[in-house]
Amino acid sequence: MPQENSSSPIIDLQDIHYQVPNDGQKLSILNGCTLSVQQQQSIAIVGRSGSGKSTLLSIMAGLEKPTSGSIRLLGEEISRLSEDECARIRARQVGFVFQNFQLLPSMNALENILMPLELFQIEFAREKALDALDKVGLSNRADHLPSQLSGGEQQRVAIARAFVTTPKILFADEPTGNLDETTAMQIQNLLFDLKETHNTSLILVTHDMNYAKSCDQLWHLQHGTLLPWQAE
Amino acid sequence: MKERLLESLTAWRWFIRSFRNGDWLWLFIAITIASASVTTITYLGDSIKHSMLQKAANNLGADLVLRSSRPIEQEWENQAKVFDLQSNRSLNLVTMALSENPKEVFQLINLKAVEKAQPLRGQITQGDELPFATLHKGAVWIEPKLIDLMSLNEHSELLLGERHFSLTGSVQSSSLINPMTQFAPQVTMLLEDLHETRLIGPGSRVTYELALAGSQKNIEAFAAYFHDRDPSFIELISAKAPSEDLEKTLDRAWLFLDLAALSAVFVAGLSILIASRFYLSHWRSSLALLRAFGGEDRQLRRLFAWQFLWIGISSSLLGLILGVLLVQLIIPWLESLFTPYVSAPLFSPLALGFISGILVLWSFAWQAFQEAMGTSPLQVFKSVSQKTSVAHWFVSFILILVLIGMIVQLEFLLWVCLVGIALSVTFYLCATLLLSVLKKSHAQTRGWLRISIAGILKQPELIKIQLISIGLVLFVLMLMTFVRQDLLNAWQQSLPAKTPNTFIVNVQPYQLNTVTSLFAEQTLQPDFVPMARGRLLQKNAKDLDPATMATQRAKRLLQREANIAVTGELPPYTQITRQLEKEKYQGLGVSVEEEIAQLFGIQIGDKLTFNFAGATKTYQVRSLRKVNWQSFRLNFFFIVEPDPSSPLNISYISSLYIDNKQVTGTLTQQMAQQASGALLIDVEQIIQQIRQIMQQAASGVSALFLFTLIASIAVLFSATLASQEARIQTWLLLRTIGATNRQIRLIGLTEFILLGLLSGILAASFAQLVSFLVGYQLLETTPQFSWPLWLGTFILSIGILFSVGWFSQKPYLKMSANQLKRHLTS
Repeated sequence: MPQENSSSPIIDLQDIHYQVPNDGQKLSILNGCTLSVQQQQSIAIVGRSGSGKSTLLSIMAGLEKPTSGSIRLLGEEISRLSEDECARIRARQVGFVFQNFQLLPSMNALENILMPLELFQIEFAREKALDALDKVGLSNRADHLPSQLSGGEQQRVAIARAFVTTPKILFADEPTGNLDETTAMQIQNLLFDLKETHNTSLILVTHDMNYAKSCDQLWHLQHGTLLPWQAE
Repeated sequence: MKERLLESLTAWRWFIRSFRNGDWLWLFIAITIASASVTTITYLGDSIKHSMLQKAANNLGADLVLRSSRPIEQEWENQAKVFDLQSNRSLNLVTMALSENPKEVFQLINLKAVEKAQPLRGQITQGDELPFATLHKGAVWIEPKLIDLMSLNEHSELLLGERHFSLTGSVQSSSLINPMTQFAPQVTMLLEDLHETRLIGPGSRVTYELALAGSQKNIEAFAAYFHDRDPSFIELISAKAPSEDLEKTLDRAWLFLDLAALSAVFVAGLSILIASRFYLSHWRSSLALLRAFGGEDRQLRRLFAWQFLWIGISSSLLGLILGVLLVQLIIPWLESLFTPYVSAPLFSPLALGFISGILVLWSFAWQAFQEAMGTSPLQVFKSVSQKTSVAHWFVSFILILVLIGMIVQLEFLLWVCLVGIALSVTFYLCATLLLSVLKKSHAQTRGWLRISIAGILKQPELIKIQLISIGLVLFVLMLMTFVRQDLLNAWQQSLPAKTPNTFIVNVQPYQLNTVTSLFAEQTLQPDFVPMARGRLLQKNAKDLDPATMATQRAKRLLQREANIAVTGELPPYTQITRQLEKEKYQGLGVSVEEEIAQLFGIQIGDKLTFNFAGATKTYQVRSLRKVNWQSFRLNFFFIVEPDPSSPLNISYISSLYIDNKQVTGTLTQQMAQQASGALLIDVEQIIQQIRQIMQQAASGVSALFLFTLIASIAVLFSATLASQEARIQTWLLLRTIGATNRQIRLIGLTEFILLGLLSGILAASFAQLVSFLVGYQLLETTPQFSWPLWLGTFILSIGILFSVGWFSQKPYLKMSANQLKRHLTS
């Protein structure tokens, strides 16, 4: 696998197009998106609901194939790779945080964090998971099921799970979308703190402009095209 | 290798974690039920079979008997030794016995000369009429009824041929197997004494027997060896099929046992199908997440398969434990039902139970497994629709086939599969139709009924699966009810309360008036049927050669003379199945029993030639008849039309029911004095033995039915819970808009009642339809419409669904809107 050097972008999108069939026609979601993300950089993508932010995020993570264009993730051209080859690149190098937390309801906080570690048979998994839980301030909630945690706590667990494998890139899809303002602020701070600690690049999709402005770069997805944000 | 081991441990950890928090539970319960059911039912079935076989073997005095009208060659006894079987030679002949003390009396007896006095299986039943001692040289055992018939006492002697024998005990004969030789009371002597009697000479009608006993495996091996050799003059009688009548009874009972096991597995399978759909969304979420984290397809497939394996193993093992506990509970009851009760080995039911548990999981959850494995990682961002591949259905189908093949006899596999496929497709179409009718009626309804119907229509695919599953479970229950009822009725009808227990045979035409008046004195009026002894020689002028016949039965029938009724009128209970048009009548006619016609390929209009004591006569086949051989009425393979121009040598035969033993004794003595040669044969003992076996089979059938019923109710409960989530969502919505508990309960219960009604319609109609098929094709019974059972299906389905609704709603009705919301998110 080609390794990226320190100066090469960790994600490089070139002229990404994405179309879906719609009533016999083709509906364009993305019309030539180009973006380059450097290591440890944080990027925010804003846009209206249905503008294609989540689709762009899934294409960047190799979860979906673009109709055309090129994507280099961690130095590897992934637009032509199979699902398993993409998975191999994501393994341990990519983390996710979702709007609806995506915690498994039948596993407690600690077990949810353990899951990616156990998937890759990482040693000292339990210690690492407990440490991650401690970092998000929930060491006393390890045995609690998601249903016994508040929304903010659930998102903290999800963040701990995302960082526990020390990924190089973190994709966050509206991580504060389901939370109240105060909790959202706490989660936002936590995410940035951990990003700094782990030297992780952050790709953030959000509606929250204040949150977005905390990132190194701010992009606006409009009519399927990524444009640098310009204050109105 | 190490990596795989670690993977299996990871899968185990994940399984235990989710299981501890309630995931997999319904699946676990369903597999446990399947495994426990198969273990228990197989054990029950095996024990019932073993006990019934033992009973039959005790009556036969052996596991197998070789019987022939010629001496059985030493080769067979040697071969029995090779198969490690015990043997006992014997010989039967009907002869006259004379007693001179206290008075001179002649009596027709069945003389049984045995190599060993004790039978190989079972015990002799001693009578207390005479002092009993072991059978020894120069002495005989006599059947108790001979004491009255010949006015015998302990000092009497019997002259048999040229030798006198002392009496050394009275012994009840075991007469189930060969009633024809038991028409006369039995006298048993040692084989070594027979020569001195000089009773056997040219032309003696002697039956030679070689009784064999040993392990089931060796007996089966010997039977296979025998069938390979296929000796022309030796008949093989097995305890498994001691007579054609009993063979059918036992076959039906055993088929029902197979059906019961199959139903239990099928019911549990449906439960797995529902449970797997229920957990599918959980599986998808976790798989989508694991894929997003970078899990590769093969790796995830292995991890997931390991979890399946772990749940299969753990729940099957629990099923086995439950099965063994159930068996322990059932054994005392079985012991009271079966005499003797033979406990079957547990190993085979345990192995079958375990394999069934694993197989039933993979068969019925395969679809959900594959659907889950096909989950796109994209699902972590948005829901993605998926279609199930036809190949997955095919694999599921093959697995179900293997499962069915393990439980039922292979010959029924195709039949069961065809019915299964046809039923599933038809059920699906009917469920779709019922839902579309419900959808149309939705617009016309108001208030709570409208909301209830909307609740059902909210998830049409899930409701279809529920309807099919609940309908199928109810259907299986109803089918078993119908079939069981038909089976019990058929057995009851074959031997009703006043089944003829007495035969009158060999009444010569000149004795008819005397015998009729003897019976009239006892206010009995037997109907006498004229008959002649004859042998089938030709079909359509072509010789029927025993050597070319494919079956032993056909060979035997061609070698022996049969009783042929000579009458223009068929008995009133005759069931004609095919008849020749009158305009095609030519010459004399014959009516042929259906199975015999099939055996020899006899068609309506064929010409059959018989040999009647040297005279040959040809008859045209005018009709085919169905005969119930278990009825103990006068039944004949052939009924020929009398020929006034050249009458046959006939005698008369009759059967009737006599409820007084004393009357039977008096008539026997009177006939011996006034109508010499005519015989009165008491078959009460045989009827009692057959009744006993049928009773045992009926008890076994009922026991299994009860067990399946319990398992089914558990499955119905789990099936309705599959859509609980959607229901709670509706209740949450209703509560937030201000609905009262009473209104919510009414809406919920109506939904359950509607489900019950729809499933009931599906179940009852299909149960009736298939019971016809099963009745006609497999059990050879005549099923009837049973309105009480139709009503029963509706009451059962609505009742169960209502109760399930009531109990499942109760905890949620106590919850606040916020608690409901939390419950949903968990």
